[in-house]
Amino acid sequence: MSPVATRLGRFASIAIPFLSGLVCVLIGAVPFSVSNGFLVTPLFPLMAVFYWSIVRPDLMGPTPVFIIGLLQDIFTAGPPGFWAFIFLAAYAFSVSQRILFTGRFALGPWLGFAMTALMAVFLAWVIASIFHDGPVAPLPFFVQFVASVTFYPLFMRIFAFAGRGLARGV
Amino acid sequence: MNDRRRRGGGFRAPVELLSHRVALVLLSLVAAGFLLLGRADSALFEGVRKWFSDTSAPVLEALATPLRWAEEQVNAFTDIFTVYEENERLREENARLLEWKNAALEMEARIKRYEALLNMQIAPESSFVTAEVIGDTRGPFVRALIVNAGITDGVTKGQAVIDANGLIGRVVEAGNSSSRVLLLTDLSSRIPVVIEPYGVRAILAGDNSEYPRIEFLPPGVTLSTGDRIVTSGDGGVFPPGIAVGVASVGDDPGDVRVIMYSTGANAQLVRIIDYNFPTGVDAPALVSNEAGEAVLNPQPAN
Repeated sequence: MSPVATRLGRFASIAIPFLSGLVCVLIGAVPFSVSNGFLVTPLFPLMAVFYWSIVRPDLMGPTPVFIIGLLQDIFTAGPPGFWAFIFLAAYAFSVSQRILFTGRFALGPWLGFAMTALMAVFLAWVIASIFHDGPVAPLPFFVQFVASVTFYPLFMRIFAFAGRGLARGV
Repeated sequence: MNDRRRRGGGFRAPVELLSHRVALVLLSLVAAGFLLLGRADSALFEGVRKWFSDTSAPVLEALATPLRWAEEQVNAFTDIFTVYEENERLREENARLLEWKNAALEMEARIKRYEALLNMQIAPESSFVTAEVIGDTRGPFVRALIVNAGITDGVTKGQAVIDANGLIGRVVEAGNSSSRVLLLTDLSSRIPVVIEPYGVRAILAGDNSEYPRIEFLPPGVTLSTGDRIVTSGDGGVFPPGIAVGVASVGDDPGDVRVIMYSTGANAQLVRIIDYNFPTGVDAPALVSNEAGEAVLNPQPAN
């Protein structure tokens, strides 16, 4: 392989965590209503942030997390900084517990994501309540938490598949 | 050692770890700053949003196509399990609708007679822009849609958006080729409505649940479950009389919710209404003559 192709492959591999977060933001914005409108869109970008922060924290740093959060704010029409702040908090939590989540316990990453997602939606509820000068309905937040945790194993596999390319590139 | 750490995906050196922590704190402060700025001036980031909506519209449209196909397949599969109940329900509904059809035809004829009698002025005809839903942000915090029509198609901020069943929301941001529609169920949605048959005015307030609340009812007014809710036209942005839903009164008579004809959750095509609010004031029908008597105005309104 030529040096240019090697460099390009290496760059693409490094960009995979951020790009997967970007794709997750777009997937979350695409209309999909098999559940007759009941399903609140899962927090797909949080899945990418969590996965890469425990698998490759050197490639999913605070800056990509911040940008993913801002894009999520833009696409969901939420207040600017809302998801950026929450994703950064979730990132800080998952990185700090990385050893625990990636331990020998097989369900560790899933439980770790459940804990992170719970913290994230709780924080989202608190900030949303502050913004609206009173407690907002907690049910949609809980539904989003359950939907996110349900979908995570599928996305974990997809990220792991993408990560194999990463392992070859870096 | 460093190489081994790198393969494990960890940080290579304490310096790298420190820089990560510093960046984390700084960016968290920036995000919090954005939150406070956005709260103080929500229009500040509107331009950025419009640009992103316009730019990402083709990508979202491309992504929506295969997902729509998947959605249809899933729905077709799940429909198999409910086909019997659905058939029964449709038979009952058909019988009920036939009764309604006769009643509607009768009413239509009667209204035509009344209109002719009163020489009633019909509200100016509204024009429509039909758009496809290309983005759907059904989060716990915001309920909005992105549609593929913008300023170039005649869409402007504030216009009402309907689907086949009734009002679903209003345009809150209009980009060049795409617009964002805030659904009636959104926490910050407030729409002036009229409750029929009483003609009572109130505000329909979203709270992120599927059933928005009725607020600011005049004192002493008690609604009943099934009362029809339509737009009032107050403010001149929405045409009056667009169907919204029916009232549902709980145990507490003050807690009135609205079962909407459409939440917009399954909307694929929507219509954006360009309503021309009549701004001119008609000349009075009666004027005083020289003797101070009321007579018909010789120069009536156009």
